[in-house]
Amino acid sequence: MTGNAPSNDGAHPKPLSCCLCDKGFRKYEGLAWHRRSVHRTVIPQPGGGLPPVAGGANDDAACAAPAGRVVGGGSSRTPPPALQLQPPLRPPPPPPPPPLSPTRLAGGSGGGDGGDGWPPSGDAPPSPPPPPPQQPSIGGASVHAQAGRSGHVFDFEDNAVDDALSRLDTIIADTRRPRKSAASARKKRRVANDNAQPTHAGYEYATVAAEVRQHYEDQKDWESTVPLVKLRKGCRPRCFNSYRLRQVERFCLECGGGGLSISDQEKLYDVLDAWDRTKPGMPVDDGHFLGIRDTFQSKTSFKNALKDDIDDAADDEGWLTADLEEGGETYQTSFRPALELGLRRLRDARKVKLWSGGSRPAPPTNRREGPMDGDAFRQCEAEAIKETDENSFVLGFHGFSDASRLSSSGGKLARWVGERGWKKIRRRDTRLC
Amino acid sequence: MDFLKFPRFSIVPPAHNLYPPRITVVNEEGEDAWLTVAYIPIVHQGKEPGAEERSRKRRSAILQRVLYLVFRSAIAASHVGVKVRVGNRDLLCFPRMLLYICDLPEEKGLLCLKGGKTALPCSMCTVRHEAAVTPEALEAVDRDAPQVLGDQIEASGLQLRKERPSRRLMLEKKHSAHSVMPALAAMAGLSTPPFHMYKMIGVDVLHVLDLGLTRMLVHGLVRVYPHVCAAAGCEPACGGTKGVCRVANRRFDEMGRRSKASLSAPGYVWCTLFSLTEFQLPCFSREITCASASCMSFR
Repeated sequence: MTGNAPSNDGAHPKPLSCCLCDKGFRKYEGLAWHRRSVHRTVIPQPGGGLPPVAGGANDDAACAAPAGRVVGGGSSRTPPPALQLQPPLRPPPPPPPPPLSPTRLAGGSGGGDGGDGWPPSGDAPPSPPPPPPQQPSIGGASVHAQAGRSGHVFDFEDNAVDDALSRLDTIIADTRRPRKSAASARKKRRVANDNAQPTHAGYEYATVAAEVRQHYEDQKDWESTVPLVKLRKGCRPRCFNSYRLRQVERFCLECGGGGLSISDQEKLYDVLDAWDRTKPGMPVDDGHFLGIRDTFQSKTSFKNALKDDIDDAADDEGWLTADLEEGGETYQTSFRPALELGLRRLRDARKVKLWSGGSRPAPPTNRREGPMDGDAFRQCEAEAIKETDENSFVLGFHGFSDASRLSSSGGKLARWVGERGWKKIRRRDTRLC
Repeated sequence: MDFLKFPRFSIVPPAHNLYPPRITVVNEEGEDAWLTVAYIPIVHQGKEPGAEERSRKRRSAILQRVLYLVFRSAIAASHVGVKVRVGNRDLLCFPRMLLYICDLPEEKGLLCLKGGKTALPCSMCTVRHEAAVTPEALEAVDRDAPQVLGDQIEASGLQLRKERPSRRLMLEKKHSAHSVMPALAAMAGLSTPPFHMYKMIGVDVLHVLDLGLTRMLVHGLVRVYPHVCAAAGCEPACGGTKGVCRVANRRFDEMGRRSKASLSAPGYVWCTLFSLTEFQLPCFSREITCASASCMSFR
């Protein structure tokens, strides 16, 4: 770090002055104590008490400040109230001021708006003087008032965050100093390592916050960041630009809690396409030009119609239910008779095969091309025909069940755990699927 | 009032747990359509003493009662037939249960046989526990359906009447069977000629694809099958090894953890795996061949 320390022994024996009473001070500590005891304030004054001379005197004074104080004192941000009310503590003696570059002022003092000057030595006041609240800019970025739609005045520049980051980087870089290694590597080890023994022991930072920040900055995680999504080529957002389209978009994104899947989105498009009567090849019937309100006057009628269709389908399929009492407990089961189901399937099938030989029973065979080639079917067929006549056939069933493959109803119980234990809050409608 | 500040919600398992038996009609040509015929409630086990035994009995009884409800009309028609009209002909239709694919514990529950370490661990034959996985097991005779079912009915009656427990226990031990009547035994063809009661069971090999020996067996069969077909001079029904793998995976593609009412077939690879005439096992039918193969693989 390079720079010039402010001279205290030359032309300015008391380079600092109070902006309230023009009293001169040689050290900033004196100015701070004066402000606190006489004026009852530690609000920093423009220029940090230095006379408002143009050029480097003010800058140099600010640059020579110890690191921790400069961060707060040179900042243009308003400190928290706790900082102002903090009682004066006697800090440890500051390290010898490293020379700072003149560019530090631009970064650390808010674009030359006046930083507090710090003497190169002596006791430092406990809290850095915060900047005056009326300072208008952050890092040279002007905050201009603009009334937005929310009614209050708030705006910021696009590069405000980047500017703050760069300023803090500059401050930390200017205020840290190389840490002296405890002991240099032994010559033997240096030679063995081909002079690759690290001799750099890092930096000492003025504040814990700076050290922590630099620690995580050194991990360079930020450099590996990329945008979460990669916009597709020709990305055209905001196509849902009308009330109706926004309703569709909201439904797609919120349906079922997590929105529709890709395949469901395609299905919805087909539905909307048919609903708009634009689907190619769709039939035209009596309800072609009817709207949803023409059939279902309310949400309730819509829900009832859906429920009626489901119930009607279950009734058509012949589903029954029964309560089975076993061992003192009652279990409810749903079922449909297999025979009626099988006969209905045969009635609705495009092609059926009643006998193993086509139009008549066939003798046992070694062929295994179909279920009717098996000995089980042919022996049953032979037995059935033997008991009656050839005007009978076997309706073969294959069964399958797997108790580990559950069919859940989809219903969920949301419960909260309170002091009284578990409590049922909500039970959704259960439906077989 | 901490719970108001920090409400902790929890989503508990679904309200209903059911498992669906399915059937398919072999007379219908085309793709197999597996139709759900019932939703059997899951019997949960309590925590009181003896809850395990009680829940097992409840589970078995519920399974049998639901199966009877499902096949009640089919059982009646299997004996007397049901009149149907096909074109100009009046025919009698006799339903038969040709194959029931299920897991090993469910197989025991379906047939009301004892599971675990029993004297007769096999559902299809009378191989002794000591002789299992030995060459002698190949000579074990099949279970005699009329005798076993007759003894089961007698033991069940003794239990209902609470008579002669020693006799009942002897009958149970004799066949490694419970004193419960299997519901499907009422159907013709299972307890009547040709007595397929203990031959209709097919072990669902693919459903335990990820388990030990079955996994190795199925993976080996998938690789061997095309070569066996080539050696036999016939074309594999589903192509080469890739085709067999594709058929084997159909089950997992089409039947997820959560069974839904679907017409899609589970996709049993062994329907085509054992279509070779040269593949001679002590088989009985196409379906029983599969069961026998899996049975033999365990012997």
